[in-house]
Amino acid sequence: VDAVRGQRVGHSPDVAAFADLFERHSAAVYNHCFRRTGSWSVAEELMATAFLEAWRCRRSMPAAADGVLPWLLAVANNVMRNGRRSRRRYAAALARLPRPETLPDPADDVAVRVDAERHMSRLLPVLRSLPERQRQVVELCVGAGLTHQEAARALSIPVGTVKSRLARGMDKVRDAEAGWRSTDAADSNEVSTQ
Amino acid sequence: MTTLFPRSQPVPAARHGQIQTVILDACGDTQARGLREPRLRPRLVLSGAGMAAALTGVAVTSWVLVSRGGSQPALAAWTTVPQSVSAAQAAQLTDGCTGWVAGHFPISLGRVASSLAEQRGSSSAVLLAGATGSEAICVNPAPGATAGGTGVEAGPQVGIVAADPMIGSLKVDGGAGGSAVGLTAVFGRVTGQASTVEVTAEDGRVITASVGHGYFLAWWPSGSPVGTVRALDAAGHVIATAAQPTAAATGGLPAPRRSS
Repeated sequence: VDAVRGQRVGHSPDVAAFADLFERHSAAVYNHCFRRTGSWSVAEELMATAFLEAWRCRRSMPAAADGVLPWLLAVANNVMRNGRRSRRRYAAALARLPRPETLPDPADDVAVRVDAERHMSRLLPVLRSLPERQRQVVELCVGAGLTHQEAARALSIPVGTVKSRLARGMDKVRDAEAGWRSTDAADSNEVSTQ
Repeated sequence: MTTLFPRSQPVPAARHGQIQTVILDACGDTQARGLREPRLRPRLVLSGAGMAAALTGVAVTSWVLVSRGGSQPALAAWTTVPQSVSAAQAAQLTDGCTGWVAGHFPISLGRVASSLAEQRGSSSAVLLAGATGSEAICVNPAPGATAGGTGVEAGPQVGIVAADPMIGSLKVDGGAGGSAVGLTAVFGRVTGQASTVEVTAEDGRVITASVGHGYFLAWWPSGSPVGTVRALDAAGHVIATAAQPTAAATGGLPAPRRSS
């Protein structure tokens, strides 16, 4: 079904099919953008921009089912890389987006989102310390849950390269993560003994 | 695995609908500022050749693409099944390709012994087989834009469908984020036992090739390489299959002559 949908969108200007695609993959793109920026509100705008860019470039969308999400994430990466230029291109469309409500929707788990932003504020410096090529693989494989093959397709690199970059990147991330977790534990002990 | 990243969250319910509405409204207005599809910019790009041919040494190909103006709207009408062309159109395509090849490749087709012309939407293509054993194809994705390749038959055909069809991987500007849009073309020999030849690209699309005069010809507007080439008889039964390696290698092959 996904393949059929992908093909319809990729090769004909079918807005209804694109709506299906948005329904299916918007959360994945949104979370990917969040993992790159650490901000849910920024991720919303980036996700919207990525889908506008995906529509513009829909003819390069792969027809194969397992290729659509990696392609969308690659488009999102391009949007984030070209930040200002992408936002300028779609300024008119994005201007129609109502401002977010000040009061959160009760259906949204606000505490979880706040915790996630706090978590990312510590993780992002670690990720940004990685070489870009390792960081991208960690974000796609560990963050977005792509398979090695899908990440390879998204980044246009061999699967073996994905594996080696992932291994090297994760070694560094684990070291950094262990460091801050031990700092947390020490802080926590300090508080409890006071 | 690890819990390195926070758990994924849904797009906030209220925002999901708002964003979707804005995006789909913009998509419906295809001429909206910023949402026009990327245009192909004039550029000469050289790429690709038949890896299988290189491995077996029975034929060599070289490919060249000259794109002038935007081919993207024309490519939108591309079809997986080719339409036949009139004799007059075929003659026009043959003449055009003969001249184009002469201007871009250091080979001589000699007298054109046979030609196979086709139409896919508003794009056209033609395969020329010269009396000297040389072959050439020209793909015209849009008026004023031509991609093409040449090859040399270096031995008698073995099997129903050539196990080493010539494959060209070509790229033009105009894709996502400034990336290239690919065109892939494949052609080769096929015997009269085959009524139909189907080419499956690695991205899953199945393209019906044009068949005639002992040749087949197919192309598609993506860089996805050839997966398999299948020959079918009149009843639709598969009578031969040629699995293809990726056609991205250029090593060991003569570079096509550059042109602007």
